[in-house]
Amino acid sequence: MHTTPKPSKTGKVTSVLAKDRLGVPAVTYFAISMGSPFLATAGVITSGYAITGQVGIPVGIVVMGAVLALFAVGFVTMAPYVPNAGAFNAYISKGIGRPAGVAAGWMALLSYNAMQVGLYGALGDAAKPLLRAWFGIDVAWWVIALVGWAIVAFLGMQHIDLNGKVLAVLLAAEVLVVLVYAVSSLFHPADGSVSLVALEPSHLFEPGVGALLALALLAFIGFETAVVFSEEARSPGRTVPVATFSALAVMAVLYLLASLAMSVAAGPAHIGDMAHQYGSGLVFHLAGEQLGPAMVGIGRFLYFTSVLACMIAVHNTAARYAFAMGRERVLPAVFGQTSHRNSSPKVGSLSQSALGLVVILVYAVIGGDPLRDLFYLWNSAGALGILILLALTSITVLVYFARNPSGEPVFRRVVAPAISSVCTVIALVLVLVNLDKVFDLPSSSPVLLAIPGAYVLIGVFGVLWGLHLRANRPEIYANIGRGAKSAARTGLGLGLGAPDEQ
Amino acid sequence: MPLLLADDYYLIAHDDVSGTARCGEGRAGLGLAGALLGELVLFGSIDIERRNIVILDAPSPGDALARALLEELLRNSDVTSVPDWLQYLSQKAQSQVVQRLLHAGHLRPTEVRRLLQTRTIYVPTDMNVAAWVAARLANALSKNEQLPVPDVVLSGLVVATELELEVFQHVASEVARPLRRQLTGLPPALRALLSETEAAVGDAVLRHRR
Repeated sequence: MHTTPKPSKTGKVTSVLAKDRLGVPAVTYFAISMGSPFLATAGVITSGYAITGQVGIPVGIVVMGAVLALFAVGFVTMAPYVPNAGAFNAYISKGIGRPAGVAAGWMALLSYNAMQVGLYGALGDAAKPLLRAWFGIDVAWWVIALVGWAIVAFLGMQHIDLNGKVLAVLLAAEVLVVLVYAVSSLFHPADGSVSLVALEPSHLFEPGVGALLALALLAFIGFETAVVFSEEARSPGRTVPVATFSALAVMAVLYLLASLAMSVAAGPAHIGDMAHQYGSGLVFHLAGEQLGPAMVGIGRFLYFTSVLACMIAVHNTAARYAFAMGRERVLPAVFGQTSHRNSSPKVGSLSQSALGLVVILVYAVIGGDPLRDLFYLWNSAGALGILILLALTSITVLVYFARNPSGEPVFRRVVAPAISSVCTVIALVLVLVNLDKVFDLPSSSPVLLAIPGAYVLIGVFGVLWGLHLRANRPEIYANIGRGAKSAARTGLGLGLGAPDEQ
Repeated sequence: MPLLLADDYYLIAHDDVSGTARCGEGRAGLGLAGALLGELVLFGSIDIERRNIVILDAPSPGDALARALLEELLRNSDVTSVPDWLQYLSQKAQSQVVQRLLHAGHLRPTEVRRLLQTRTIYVPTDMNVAAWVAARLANALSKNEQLPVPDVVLSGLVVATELELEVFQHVASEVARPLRRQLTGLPPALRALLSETEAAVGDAVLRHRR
């Protein structure tokens, strides 16, 4: 484990408080575990090959990794200036303005809820072959999803995050197995020679590039959670930035290797068809041919635990967003109440679970493929929301540091956020232009309008609500973006200085 | 002699039969930490400025626990942030306040058997004292009477730790508005302390459990 050298003279209070703080490894584990490497490899990347029909997934991952690294520069630089640094809406409230902050908060809630709901499909997909192999039984995906739903609902109400050590072990195993699969595939090229067609930058100029970017972003989601620990970090100025960039770097290298290896082993010409045929089983099919059934079993088990860990992380993220906004009174106050037993954000957690249950049951009745129709569609819809938030947050960092002079270096407060703003907006436009490819729907499908429409609607409504609060409820308006620091119950406000001074 | 702030808070925040915290140990710990710092503000020993504790030049507080806390603040002058102190004190405030209440004869230890183990809980020696604290607040507030400053702070801690329903019971919604007005009238240091306590309760929910 990482240890920071103790300053020479610290009091007892300092050392007691230090015990509760997190170091770089712990924060990095949390961020990558929400990213779930095995889910990204088996679920996201294979779905990407199958659905987009494009070979350029690895290029998409490199480009998105670079964009997110630029984004992260401004993101972690601004974090210490934000009262509720874990939340996009807290940034946007401080930079662009509070009405935009309300809109952003609601959008984030919608995005994370959509992703969480989709994950139930991935869990069914991950556990089904496992149950068949272990017990020889065939269980409907939705039965598994319901079991997973119950586990997540229970843990959410208990206010339990997966233990750091458990996460560390699972993650290490996941990363190792993904690497073994990838290296093995690189040594077993489809036509006898390794083809690097998938790495050609020309894929960025093919129609449907938006789909590549959306998919790559989906694989990286989770990196943004490291800033949640701003106030719990052992060395606030260092822990969070190092953890954020470490998480991004690990994920970028891993996903690049994994996606490239898949295309090499299947052959660039066949990868789309094979991904279509095998779904998430593609990685295991390839591993089975190359490494034997034992490695397949291990991989399948880690795929399952990866999805479960991701579900717990996303569930808690969604519940915390709802709680923070309840504290601000941007959502009904009841969302800001805590369970007396264990300080869980109970209403946020319960409503998330209720939504999940409804979606599982609806999909169980109408049928559909759990990986493609539930996981992929809902997660892509969530990723679209996150992409909107990334673009808004990039712009926010620029605006904030332009209005509030600080000692931060020019690269961190101007250059990187400016490039990131341009890149995320371009990515967003490309995703919107290629939305049919992103969601794998016919271009006449009403869903193509409904999903971005939902974000636009909730965004407009959020801005209007923010303006309404400004005119009629100034005490609530002042709290927007402050999360738990709103002090809206006592109505006394925290000594944060003038709204834009802090 | 009236009870000190943290003693009052302890009695209303804990069940008088089972001795457990009505709002969970973690939150009661933060409430007690806020109450202990509140005592120092009321004694005139400390002030709070821009989320930090400032130690004032004043006569020593008349209570042993308050004096010990003040000495601890002086010894650890490298930490001044109110959230940090609330966090730190929340872990040991309960046992400290229990000791003070035991010493004054307001609590007594009781052995209870749970399955195979025996543990000690602390229950009020006189249930009426505990009940009276809550009734005193609810009565005055529902009649819209001005509470003495320590009782306004006590009521503020009840709100900050989400104990309104347990303490004010059926008049909880009725007293919300008059209470809010009295809270707003508190001196800045006490207002700051209450909002910091509320923020700490909220932050504990947003924190990840490990």
